[in-house]
Amino acid sequence: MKIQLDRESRIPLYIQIINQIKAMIFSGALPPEYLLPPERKLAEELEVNRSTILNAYRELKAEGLVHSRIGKGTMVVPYESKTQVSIRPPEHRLTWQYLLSDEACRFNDIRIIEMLRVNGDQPIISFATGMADPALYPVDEFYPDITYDIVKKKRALGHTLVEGCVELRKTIMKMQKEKGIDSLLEELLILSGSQQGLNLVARCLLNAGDTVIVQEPTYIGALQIFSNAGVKIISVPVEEKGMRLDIMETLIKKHKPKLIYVIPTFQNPTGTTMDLKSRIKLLNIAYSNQVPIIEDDAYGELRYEGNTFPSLKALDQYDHVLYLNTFSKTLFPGIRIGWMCGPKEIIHQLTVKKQLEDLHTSTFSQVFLTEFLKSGRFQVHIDESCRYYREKRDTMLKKLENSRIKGLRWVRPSGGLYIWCGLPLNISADTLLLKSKEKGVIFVPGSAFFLNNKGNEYIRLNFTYPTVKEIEKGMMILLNVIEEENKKNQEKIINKDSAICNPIY
Amino acid sequence: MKYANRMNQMTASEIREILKVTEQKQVISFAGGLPDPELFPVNEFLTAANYVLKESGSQGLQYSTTEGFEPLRMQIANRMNSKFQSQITKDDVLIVNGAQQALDMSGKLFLDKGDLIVCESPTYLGAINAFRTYECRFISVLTEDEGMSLSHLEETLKAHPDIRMIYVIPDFQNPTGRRWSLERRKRFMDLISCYDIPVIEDNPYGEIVFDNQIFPSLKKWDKNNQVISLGTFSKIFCPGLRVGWISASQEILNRYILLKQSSDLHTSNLSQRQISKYLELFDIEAHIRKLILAYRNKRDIAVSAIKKCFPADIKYTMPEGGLFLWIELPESRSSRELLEVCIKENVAFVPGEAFYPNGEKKNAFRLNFSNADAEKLKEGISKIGGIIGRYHSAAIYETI
Repeated sequence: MKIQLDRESRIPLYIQIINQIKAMIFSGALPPEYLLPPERKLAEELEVNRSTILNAYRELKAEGLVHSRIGKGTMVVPYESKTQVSIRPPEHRLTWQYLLSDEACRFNDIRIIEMLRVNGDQPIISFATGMADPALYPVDEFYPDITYDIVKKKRALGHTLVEGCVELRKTIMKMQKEKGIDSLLEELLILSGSQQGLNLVARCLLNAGDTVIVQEPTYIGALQIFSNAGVKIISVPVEEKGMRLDIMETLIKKHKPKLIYVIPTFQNPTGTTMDLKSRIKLLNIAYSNQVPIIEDDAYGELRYEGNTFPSLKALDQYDHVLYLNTFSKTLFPGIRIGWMCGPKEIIHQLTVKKQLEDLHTSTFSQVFLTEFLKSGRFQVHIDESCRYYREKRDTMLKKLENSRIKGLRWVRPSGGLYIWCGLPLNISADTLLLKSKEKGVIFVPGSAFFLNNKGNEYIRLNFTYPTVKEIEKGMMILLNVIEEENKKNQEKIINKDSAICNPIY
Repeated sequence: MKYANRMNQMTASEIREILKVTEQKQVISFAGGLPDPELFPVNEFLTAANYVLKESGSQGLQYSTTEGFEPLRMQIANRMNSKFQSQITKDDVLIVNGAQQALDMSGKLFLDKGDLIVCESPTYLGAINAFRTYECRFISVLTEDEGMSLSHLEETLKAHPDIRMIYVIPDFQNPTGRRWSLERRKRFMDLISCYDIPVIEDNPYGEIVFDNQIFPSLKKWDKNNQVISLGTFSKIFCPGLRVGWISASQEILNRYILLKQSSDLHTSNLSQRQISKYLELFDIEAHIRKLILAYRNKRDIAVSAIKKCFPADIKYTMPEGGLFLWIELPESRSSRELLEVCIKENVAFVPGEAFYPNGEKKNAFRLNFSNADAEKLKEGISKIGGIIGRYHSAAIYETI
């Protein structure tokens, strides 16, 4: 039994003692029949008058919490007699699943959670996640810059604005200007990762029953958020130049969508990029139908060859585009910083919502990032990353090219993180994953990027996270598994004309 | 663009507008709930931050699992068990971006349009706002110094079988600074264990205790896995890193994890590792003792200033922890009107109305004592006292 007295306090000492003993009894720290120390001993220990302890014990007795036995001393009484109420156990186990809201019930997709569980410690080669190469994080050269003075001066441990640190927003404004996006401070919102941006958009703009237009296939996180919001998702197939704009107008007229979500550059998962003509065409469709566009530009900086196209946001002069970007793919994902750029009024609404979601993004992370961006090392880092990733992409492409597996096709991406492959006929991505996982290689089956379990004839391979050696080894394993499956199927198929393969888009 | 219907629930708060003025002028503000920035352990934090980058830089900047950095979850479970007598393991802990995110996710998880939620009266403004976007309705249960009135709670639960959630802050509640007594906690759990309703126990202030008595979490009596406990490092460490947590039974935590993943994948890995490293290298208990000494001292200054400068019929709480005092004017007075006068004299607080979801009471206000320094504390309170005095006699004059 440990009692600490506060002699400065206005609370009388004997009350302090009572309160603390009481607390220990209720918490179970002093179990029933626990023998309290003799009054004289406790008085000496606490350096108080013996009468103080006497008073305290008397009071505890009066409350029925302790009792005295002659010859034994003062002890804690058994639990039942202390109070009339006792625990009445529930008749049934609590049925949590009945308590969930409609929104919570709608959402039950754990694929991303599972993907994130894979990390460098496991002996598995992962082509699954869309991660930057950890070896490239510019850590060493950078970290000495964060000093006591910076933390103090920039209040890096305190709260910051919901919209994000002013200095970070100004730095991003400058970066965007170089890419042709003119923006004001109030048009920027710092996010805890770009996923939060999509979530905020859904919460601010979408009601259950609304319709949105997306590419098919598209980013799994976006599909989750839109399905979760209870909206109808209309898919426009991806093609070489981004998406089938020829059918877009008809779909818009028919479904009256609330917004269009599009990844115009190095699309996830297909790696395709819209050319300038398609970008202008898409904007015109959006203008003439009064539909806003959510442009996700997470991969735009990672270009390994070919021309740079302006973002939709840079082309848009009429406030139709809400632009979403992140540092997760270019710098480091663990810091969870993304941003949005759009018309002031919608950014304001998103800010109000963000405040309720998490108040603001980590101040220290924002200061850390600002210092990095200001150092001018960002562009150097991007250039270096692109060199590295190009080599990795080429390693993977070469393995695919050399494999000569009948019916296996893929999209050659000029940037981004992924190679999208169409499997030979009759091979299912799910089965393939099971087999290749046994041999230590994982990837994402195409169905993750489609609605309604479509897309099982595709797989997405990430080439930025694994090392060149892992790519070589992993591809050898994977291609062997595909080859085996293919052979099995070829034997089954009587019609030898089956060189026809799945369309790649 | 047309906004979603739920956005109509959210109007820019009038109070926020009034208080905006305070940022531009030399105003003594008792409005925020901010810890004192002078007390942030900057050097220790930097040491920890440097360790993280040096030892595990690339890991620390990579994506993490949605649940959070495992060693930190373990540290949190251990701290909760030893401080608040819960019995949880790391698997019962999910890391979130501050407790605010946990509130928002709780709304998302349990509330449909029109659903009922029970809260204390008054209760935390940020929670009201977070839940309100889910278009729910609130029932405020009478709350006394000892905690929520159980007879009123029982009546309420019986009268409304469609209550979907109970939200409470048993330790040094925001805004009143009240702490539920042990008996009330136990009896509360007895009562609600007969109902199939989740209890959100929000506990940002439980460790900032002035009388050395930390009371157990409601989880201690939670035979039924009903309690979802929320915690944060904002008040005991620093708020800018945005790291908080949810602890709940596996079944329910899995649901939260799903929501967390779709909201933002995971909380900043760097922030999580920095805090974990700090906990490993330094004695956070010593830091908390420092905070307690500083805040207790400020509370004492605030209380004695109130005694000295406020008219005798003004009621106020005497919190044994936390960051807030709750002050009640006579029933007929409006604290918002008082604020308008105060702002002209460069002192501000948050009027109490905002803490009642159904706007029941208008005569109280919340005074934060942790952020201002001692001189400002005395000066500000004496100003408010003077204004109340004047406002008071004017009011009496009117009624005559």
